[in-house]
Amino acid sequence: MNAKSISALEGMVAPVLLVAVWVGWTSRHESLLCPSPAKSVAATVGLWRSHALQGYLATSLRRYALGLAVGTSLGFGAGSLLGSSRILERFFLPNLHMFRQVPLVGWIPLLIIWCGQGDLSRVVLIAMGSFFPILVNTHAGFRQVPESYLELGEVFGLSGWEKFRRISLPAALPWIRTGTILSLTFGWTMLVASELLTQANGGLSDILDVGRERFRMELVNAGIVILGLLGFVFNLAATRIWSVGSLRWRSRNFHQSNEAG
Amino acid sequence: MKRFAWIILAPLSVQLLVLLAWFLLCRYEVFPPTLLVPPALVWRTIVDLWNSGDLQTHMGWSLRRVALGYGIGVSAGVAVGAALGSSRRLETWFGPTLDLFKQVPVFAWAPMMIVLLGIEEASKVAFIAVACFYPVLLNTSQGVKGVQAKLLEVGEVFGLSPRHSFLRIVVPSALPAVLAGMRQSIALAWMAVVSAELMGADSGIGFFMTYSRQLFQMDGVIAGFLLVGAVGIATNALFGGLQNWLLPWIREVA
Repeated sequence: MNAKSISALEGMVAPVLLVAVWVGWTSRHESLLCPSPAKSVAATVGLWRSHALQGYLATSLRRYALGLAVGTSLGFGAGSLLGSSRILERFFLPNLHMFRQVPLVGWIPLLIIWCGQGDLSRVVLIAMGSFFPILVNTHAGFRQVPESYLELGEVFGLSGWEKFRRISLPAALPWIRTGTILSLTFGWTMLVASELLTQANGGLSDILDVGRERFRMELVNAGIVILGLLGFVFNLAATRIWSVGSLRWRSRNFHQSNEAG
Repeated sequence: MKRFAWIILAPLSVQLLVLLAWFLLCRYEVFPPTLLVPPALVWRTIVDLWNSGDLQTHMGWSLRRVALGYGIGVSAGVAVGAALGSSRRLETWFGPTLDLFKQVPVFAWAPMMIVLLGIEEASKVAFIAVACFYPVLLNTSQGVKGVQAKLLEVGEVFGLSPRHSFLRIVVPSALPAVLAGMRQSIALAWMAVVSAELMGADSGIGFFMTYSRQLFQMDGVIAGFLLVGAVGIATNALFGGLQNWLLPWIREVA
């Protein structure tokens, strides 16, 4: 067993202990506020059996996918525009940075008035959440493309589109990768915000809402675990897809330079 | 001077255009007044709110909650982050557990806080503290871990006591990261308080927005939104200034 897997095992001790203490404590002093984990598991299984969980999942994932699709494509588009034009950058970037400091949840009352209590408001909010991280990172990615690369493209007589596709885009990809992963994470956070702030909407956050209203802590716990787990899975998937895909060359170079340094 | 004009006037012109568009949309009644009210009316609403003292009351409540929650969350984050950053052993044993909890979207903690602590102040403050905790924790532990070993060795050579080497070497080296974490956290704290007040409160700027919405007072909703945004922008700028002031050797590259 190597040192790495030993320290991974050591890291598992605290969570296992935590659950063990929780189980041990609740087997003697079960209370309304501190139900046993078994109850949360049973509640989750119950939700699954009654097909409620599948419904919640489908609804939330649909909102998330729509919001992400809109937000990331707009963010990528705006980021590449700002990254390739100094003029647009001058006019819009400071405003966008300022705009980003407005807390997104502050939009919710306005969105409810403009887009209603339905899914449109939620999708817009998720789109706004995923818009900024990818915008900022895409812009930064295009900005750091060395001028000399583009000049070389010029020498080879590449058109503007070809320079974008063959030079700027690959060079900016590591930044875009970071941007998409951040967008995915923040979009998921905004999904939860949008669902909690407009009630009884058939999404995953209903588990939390019902738990809170009926004082059923096991549902609240289950909801937190489910939302956390899904967020983790999306993050992991995004990281993995990017690393097996287009960026293999970069991570190889990265390791080499790390070893050299 | 010409450069200055570019930096200030170019973005400003966009802002003025947006304001003009807003004005014209209302002037020609493109949208009914239930959806959009003119800028002048919103401005008058803000002035009225100020004169009646409502603005100060609601803002006061929101800021008080932020101050408490932020104070608790940041102190906890700095303490835990410094511990994890300075001890490899602590990090291997407890780092993964903290990572586990980090996966939960912050807003999911709000209902739990309400069940555990009630709908009053305590649950709001706790929720804000939770929202502030992670950015500070992660940045502090990175910052402390990043203190160069050779600097500590120099300290040893000079015979610094552990207390002095902490104050003179670790704190200044880790400070930029800690401040960066605090800056991320203040934005999250402001977002958390607004959302907590939207979910259920009888005071605060978030409550004011919900209340205005329920009465169909669009001027109040927009005024609240602008105030929420202004505070967000102002706190971010304030922290930027704080960073420049405390860390004159690091200039922010805008």
